[in-house]
Amino acid sequence: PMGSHRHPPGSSWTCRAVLGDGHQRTVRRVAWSPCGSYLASASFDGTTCIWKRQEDGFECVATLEGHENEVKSVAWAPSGSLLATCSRDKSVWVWEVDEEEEYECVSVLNAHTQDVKHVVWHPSQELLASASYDDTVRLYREEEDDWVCCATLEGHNSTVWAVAFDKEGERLASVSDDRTLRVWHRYHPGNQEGVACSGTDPTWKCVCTLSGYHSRTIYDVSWCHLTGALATACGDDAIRVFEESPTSEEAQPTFSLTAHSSLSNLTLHCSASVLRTSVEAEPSRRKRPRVSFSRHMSLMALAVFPVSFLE
Amino acid sequence: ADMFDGILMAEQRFHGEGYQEGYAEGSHIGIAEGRRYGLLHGAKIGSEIGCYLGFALTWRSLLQKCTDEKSSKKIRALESLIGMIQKFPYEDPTYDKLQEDLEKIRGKFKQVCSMLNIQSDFRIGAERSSLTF
Repeated sequence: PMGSHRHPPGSSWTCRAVLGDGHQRTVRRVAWSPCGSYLASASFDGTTCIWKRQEDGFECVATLEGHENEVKSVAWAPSGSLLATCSRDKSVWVWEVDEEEEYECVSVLNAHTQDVKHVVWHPSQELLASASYDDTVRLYREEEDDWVCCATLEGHNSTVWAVAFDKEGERLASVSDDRTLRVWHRYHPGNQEGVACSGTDPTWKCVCTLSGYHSRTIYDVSWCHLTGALATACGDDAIRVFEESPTSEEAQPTFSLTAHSSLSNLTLHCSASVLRTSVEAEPSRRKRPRVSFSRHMSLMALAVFPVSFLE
Repeated sequence: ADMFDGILMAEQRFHGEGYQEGYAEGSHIGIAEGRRYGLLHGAKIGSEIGCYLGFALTWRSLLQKCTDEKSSKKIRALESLIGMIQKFPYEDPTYDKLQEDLEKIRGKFKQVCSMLNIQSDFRIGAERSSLTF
């Protein structure tokens, strides 16, 4: 098991399959379906392959074509019947799969004005988020047989590389080339905070901006659904873990961003910093696969605490 | 004092007159150039949308007789595309949602092509793309 000291890291993992014939160019992202039987792979060759797990390996059961150039990301909706892909061609595609394992494109969304880097689904609703080189995050939902862009999150000053929803899905974290991590909160129509909403769509407001912690572009963010901790992957070779605290804790230094904490103001402090760990910002050309970034990074951070804290 | 005014203000006066003349000429040339550009650009958009409309109308009649579930999904998407194209305000270049609606039409066209298993890329020649992240 990962993190165990009795075995050297990586020795208890075996390579079960090499799927080398599916794509003609860099494979940029992979995603397991919620049921675990399918694997989707997004490639710079413009296609997304769907692989089905068999007893002796994996079989490519579908190839999703249509994007004009590099596909940057692919994500499964929690229901397992929807899939989203995004590309340098500035579009986000929503696909539906039926009981016969047939995939069909249900929408092509041209809301972004530049390269779309990342797509991610809401943890429980059929709501899709995308991050782009156009500095925005956009949200999409289904409306009368078609998909529409229901919100545009503006605030970042440069490319947004990744987004992540929290466990409830009322908040979203975004990271950018502008070296900030932003937390957005969803306000529904008729909310008691008095945030205006247009029509029946909720409004997303930026409630927290973490700047000054990252000295380079932030490429990825992960929001732990167990502990609520936020982890970031940065071009300055560091992984950072942020935790939300309602009050300032003595055991850990608190970098207050706001004076108080309430629904609309969050205080996030850096609880640990793991230095000298290389974070890959480019597709790997290595033959040996690297150990993947654990989604329970927050628990790992607690395990290595105390560590040196950054300024 | 008046006789010196003419000499002292000469430069300013000539500057002003020159500006007025230039502005008038520039506006005239600008209008002509704008008109040419509008014609070209409008024709491009018209040609693109016209292509989608012809394509959609043809496929709708081809699939008219089909009653299976798959075909009805395709017909629904085709009708949606036709509807979007027919609703598009061709007479108004100042329509505030012009670009947005155009992108929606293009997106719907791409989706329809995907459902019909047709390549939406009518360009001739391969596009070379560079490695990006």
